[in-house]
Amino acid sequence: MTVEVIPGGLKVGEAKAPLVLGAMHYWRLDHHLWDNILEKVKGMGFNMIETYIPWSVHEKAPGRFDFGEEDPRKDIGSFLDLCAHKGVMALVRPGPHINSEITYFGYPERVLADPDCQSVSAQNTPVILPVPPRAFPVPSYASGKFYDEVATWFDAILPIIEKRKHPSGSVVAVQADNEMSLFFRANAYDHDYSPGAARLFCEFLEKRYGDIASLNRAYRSQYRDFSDAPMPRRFDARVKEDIPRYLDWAAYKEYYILYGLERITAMLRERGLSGIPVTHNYPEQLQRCPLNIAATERILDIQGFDMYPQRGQYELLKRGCLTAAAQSRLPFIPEFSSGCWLFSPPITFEDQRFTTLVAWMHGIKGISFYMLVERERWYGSPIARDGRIRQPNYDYYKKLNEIIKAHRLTALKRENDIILMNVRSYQYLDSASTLLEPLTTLFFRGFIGAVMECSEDPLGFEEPIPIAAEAWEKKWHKALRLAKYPFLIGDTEMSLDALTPYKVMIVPTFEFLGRAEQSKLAQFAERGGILAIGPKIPEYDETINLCTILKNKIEGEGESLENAPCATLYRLGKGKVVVFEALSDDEVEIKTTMDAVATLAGLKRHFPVLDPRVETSFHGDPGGDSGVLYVANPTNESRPASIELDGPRKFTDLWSGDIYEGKDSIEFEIEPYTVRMLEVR
Amino acid sequence: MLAKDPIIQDIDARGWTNLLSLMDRATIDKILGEEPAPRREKTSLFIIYQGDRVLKAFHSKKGSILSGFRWDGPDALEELAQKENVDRLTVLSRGALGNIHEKFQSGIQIEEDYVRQLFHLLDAVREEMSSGLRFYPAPKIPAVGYELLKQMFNLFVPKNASIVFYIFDAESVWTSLIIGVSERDFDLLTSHDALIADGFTFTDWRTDYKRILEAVGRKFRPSGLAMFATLKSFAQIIRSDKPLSALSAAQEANEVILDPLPTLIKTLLGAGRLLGR
Repeated sequence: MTVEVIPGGLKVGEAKAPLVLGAMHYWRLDHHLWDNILEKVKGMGFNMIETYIPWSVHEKAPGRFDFGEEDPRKDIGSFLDLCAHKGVMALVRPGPHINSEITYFGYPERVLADPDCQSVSAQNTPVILPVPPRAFPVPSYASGKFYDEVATWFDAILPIIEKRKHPSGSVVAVQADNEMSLFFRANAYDHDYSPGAARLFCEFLEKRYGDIASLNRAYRSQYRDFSDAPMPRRFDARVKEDIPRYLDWAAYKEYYILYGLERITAMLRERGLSGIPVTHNYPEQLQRCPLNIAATERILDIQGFDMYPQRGQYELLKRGCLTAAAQSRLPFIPEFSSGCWLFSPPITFEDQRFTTLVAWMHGIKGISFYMLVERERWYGSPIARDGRIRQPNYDYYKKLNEIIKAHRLTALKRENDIILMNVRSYQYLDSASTLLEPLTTLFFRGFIGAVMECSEDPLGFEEPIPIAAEAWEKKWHKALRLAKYPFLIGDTEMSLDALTPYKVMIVPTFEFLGRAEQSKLAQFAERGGILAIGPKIPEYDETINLCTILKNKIEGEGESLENAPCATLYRLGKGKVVVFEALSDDEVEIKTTMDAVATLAGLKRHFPVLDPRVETSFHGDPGGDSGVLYVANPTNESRPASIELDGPRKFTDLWSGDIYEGKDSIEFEIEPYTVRMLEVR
Repeated sequence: MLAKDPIIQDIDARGWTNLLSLMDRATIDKILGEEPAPRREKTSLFIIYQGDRVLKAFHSKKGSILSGFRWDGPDALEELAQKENVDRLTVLSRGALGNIHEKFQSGIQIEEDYVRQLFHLLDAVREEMSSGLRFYPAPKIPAVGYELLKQMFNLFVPKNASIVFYIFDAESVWTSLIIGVSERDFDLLTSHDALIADGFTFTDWRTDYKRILEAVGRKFRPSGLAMFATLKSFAQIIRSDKPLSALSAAQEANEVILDPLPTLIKTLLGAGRLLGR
């Protein structure tokens, strides 16, 4: 590769570049202003931009395109050349999906209107996305005809990009499609039931089971062929033995998305865009089926969640960042609010000032601000459409870039000894056991939770697992927040090697757990980790056949764990397993429980703060004793920040220049919705 | 009514945020200097049933109450609300959402006006509200169809014109909207920021509003309807039980200027005031 992904950014030739950039849409700006606007982008300290390249804007008729021959605003080649001339690198996003609030999301109307290109709903209708200014039928990413159409677009645009790829030009990365998520319509029984999707489902089952006899054993069925297995249209399981087919269906939804991403990526590579990273952006802040970022990491070089948070969404933003930090080789937010689109709750400059630093605090190492330059259907960016500067926003990004560079924020390391796991098998059951078919959108689900959406039938288990798993995950979050140990959010999809560096792995477990997942958990402990599980030790695998991989290894006399009354401690290889039969709702008890686990692992807190609502996060200089301490007040009132120290320290606020010194502690008042960045010496 | 590619640009961020904040009762309280009225959080119950079986009963305060829940069917909602002591009920027959999707998605055309497209969705929801989707209390959805709405658009909205709306806080623009209307559609949404881009300034909005209208006319289309108001007077109109009378009083006090005002709308406002609205 001429451009490589390295920790903290990109290696472009021999130079290291942080992946800190922002969006500018050439075709929505007067081309005479490109030069002036790029100067102002550079004036804020950015030396990289990103832009969509919209298929529908460039296509005049099937196979005929305008790349500036008629309308100079569409001269993408000149725009990229100008970027190169000005020393500005570019990440290009040629779709085919681009959204960007453009009518029909950048697909030509003729493609969307073609029934052979359309996704099909569970009710056998087209799948309509009701977004302004025109609702439209979404395409099927399993349709051969759709990919043929995409090829005509890529054949036209990619030679222009390829010619301007580093080192010949400004292009250092390319994005495959956009917010791949079944168009936010994540309910397992919404779509796609098109003929192409049916074929893909067969292919998925064949890869998973190899032969039909294995599938029949799992499904308790007698199908003659994989194509006999129906695509489920709602959750009708009555007993636990019914669930394998539904778990597969949810897993297939991920397969569908990954298939689309792989195919688009291959089309980019085949047309000359090799040697530079391929990126992708999943929609906002969601870490649940059908999105699987740990699996996506195996296909793409860089990926992450787009995030448009308001101040009050601190916890949601934090979760997204902790997930990206654990599961991405380069924790990156491909779109982070710098302004807002019209039909959304407004995201103010005050929101952005706070949330941007929250993202850095919780482990993000790369960020793309969407948008740096306002455009049609977007407001609130640091540069207006006509090149005017929005002064407070402009000054903020300028200062932020200065701090990122001067204090090498992308090179600092956040210490994380604990990983709290998402369990894919339970995610699949959660997704598959919806009772709201076919409605749930990704965004909607963020508000309602499993308890409002999922079946409450325990199916022969002690309790409905998706609802219980969500409750346990929330309790562990609370325990970690109160006990103030730094942690990240992992996923059972992650490789064992990626999990091994953590000292403690927390995994809510129930009666069943995937065979590979059980094995991974056991091996984590065998290698020396502390594995905290419960309330059940799994006895079945994902086909609901007996599977006691984990249980067999932890059989034997357990012992009690001090200060954790519902826990039993076992030894496993070089490590230990703690099985929690219950977790308290009480804040003091649950904090004590977390402390007990941390003590077992020999963990220490980094600069803990007394106030339970104020949070700290220390990012240290590898090999040194200095670094940056982030202190966040995510509430709407001022709070006292009293930070414990382990010896004499000097802190300098990187924004205000305020200095604090102390030996045992320092104290200051922290304003509402504020993150202080303190250089630690 | 809504163009396929409306131009939406030069929206002032603070002004847009201010405009949306008017939907919040607390904002109006603050503008009028009133103590926010205490608000009791309403309780709700969400039920999903299939045949005679209830699959989900979720109480907004208690969580799941499915265990031991007594269900007398979807026609006895008032009694159920009383029995469970909740303010609101949402009752969903399994399959109802699929019916709505099917009706909406099979009826819509890609080239249709967006408002027409949304009416396909509204019609599908309305139809299901007589069977698989029930609310208590029943929501008051105006019995307006797309055709009637379109007739109102044709009658009242000035064509080939701009609609101008400004609210001022002292001599600052607190929020503003400039909406463009072609012969058929709304095709432009912008704000005072578009005029600032041309170097436009003013000192006294009560006299300079005419210069604003001239600038809008030069840059976009001539104004067919315009409202300029102070923040407090606008909040009073919104809060008033008799908004047309409050508007009239504000006009007389020079706190609101309606200029230009099409004759038909002027007549309707006058009639409304006479009727005590």
